[in-house]
Amino acid sequence: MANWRVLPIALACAGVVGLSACANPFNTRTAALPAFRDAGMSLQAANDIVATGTTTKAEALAALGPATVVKFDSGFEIWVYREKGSKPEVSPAELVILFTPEGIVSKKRIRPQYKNLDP
Amino acid sequence: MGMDFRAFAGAGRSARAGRFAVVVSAACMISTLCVQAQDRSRSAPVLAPVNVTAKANRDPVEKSYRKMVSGMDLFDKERAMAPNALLRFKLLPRRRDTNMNNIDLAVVGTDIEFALPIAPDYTFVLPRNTQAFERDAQVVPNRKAQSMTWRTDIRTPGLPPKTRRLGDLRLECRVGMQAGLVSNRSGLIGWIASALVDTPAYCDDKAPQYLFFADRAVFSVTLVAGTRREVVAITQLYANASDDPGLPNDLAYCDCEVLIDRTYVLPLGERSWPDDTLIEFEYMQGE
Repeated sequence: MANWRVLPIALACAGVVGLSACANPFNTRTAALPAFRDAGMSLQAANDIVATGTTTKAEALAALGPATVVKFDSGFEIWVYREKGSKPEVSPAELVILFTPEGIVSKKRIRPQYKNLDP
Repeated sequence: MGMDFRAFAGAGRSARAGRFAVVVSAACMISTLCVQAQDRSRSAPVLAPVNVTAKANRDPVEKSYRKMVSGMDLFDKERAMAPNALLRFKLLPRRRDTNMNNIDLAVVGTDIEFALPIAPDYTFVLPRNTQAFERDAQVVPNRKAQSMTWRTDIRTPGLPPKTRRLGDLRLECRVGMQAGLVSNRSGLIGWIASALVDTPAYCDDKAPQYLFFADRAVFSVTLVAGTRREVVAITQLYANASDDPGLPNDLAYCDCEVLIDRTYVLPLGERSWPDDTLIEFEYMQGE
């Protein structure tokens, strides 16, 4: 559930049972996103497989495996692959692929791993 | 303009209060009307009738003039965060069928009403007016509640293309919260939560979930301060849609409903990023 939706519930909970009994929704670790079908594949190798302007969704699925998909009303889709096994103190690396409404890779990028700043 | 803003000026002073406010407002209105009727029957001269047109909107997406002015006061007080920027307010669509063309916007109070010109980018300036403030006027567009949302628009001129400045956005958050512009929630719990959370201090959190809307659909957002660069995580884009399978069911509660592909959040309270940090955008379409 998105944080902006959780917030009122968390506050209501806090009001009833006290702040200590409520988990902080902003510190929740996100669910694991899928790794590549080939467990040994690096983000860079996956990025090299995908070609802007030519690779289709079917080809990406076959080569990389299922992704976390965000679909928009415009017809564009974002596919996300996230580095697995990263430590809690780091924000994991990501491969993000943008598909056009026609199902062709339009853009791609790698977000490197970052160390989380102190809370 | 073709419509009488006074026709809906009194409806629902606070959208957040939901049904509770409606009930209370109805009770207050009834008692007020009774008192007024009694007063009139005793002495008052006959007032000119107010025409209610068929186009009148009885459930407008209005905001408190006083609250918005208090946001302007905060902007003046904290403008060191964005010393060269100007403050404007902005209207944004909230529903797929919202018509953003030909919006009429006005400040409406008991005995005052004046129109606010809207720029082509849907921004506007709110002038200070003592009478409107004293009359607790409302800022009222001719659109129904939940059809639009509001934000501040604070921009330092002369920035490179496709960039924003972090200090501007920090101030947008603080002024927006002070002005009561965000309208995500509904119902009594939402109202209570808003009362506790909708303060500028919320923007000082390391990772506040104050939703910004880029000018176009975004593919990537990067913070840049000198040689330091950091790409925003996918969870900070699109209202966390990547990790929230329930998002489609929750969208009705979010003022990002039709702006998901433009939505991002920033580490506003992370002070290792200075106010002069540039936020670089790569959009889904174009270079």
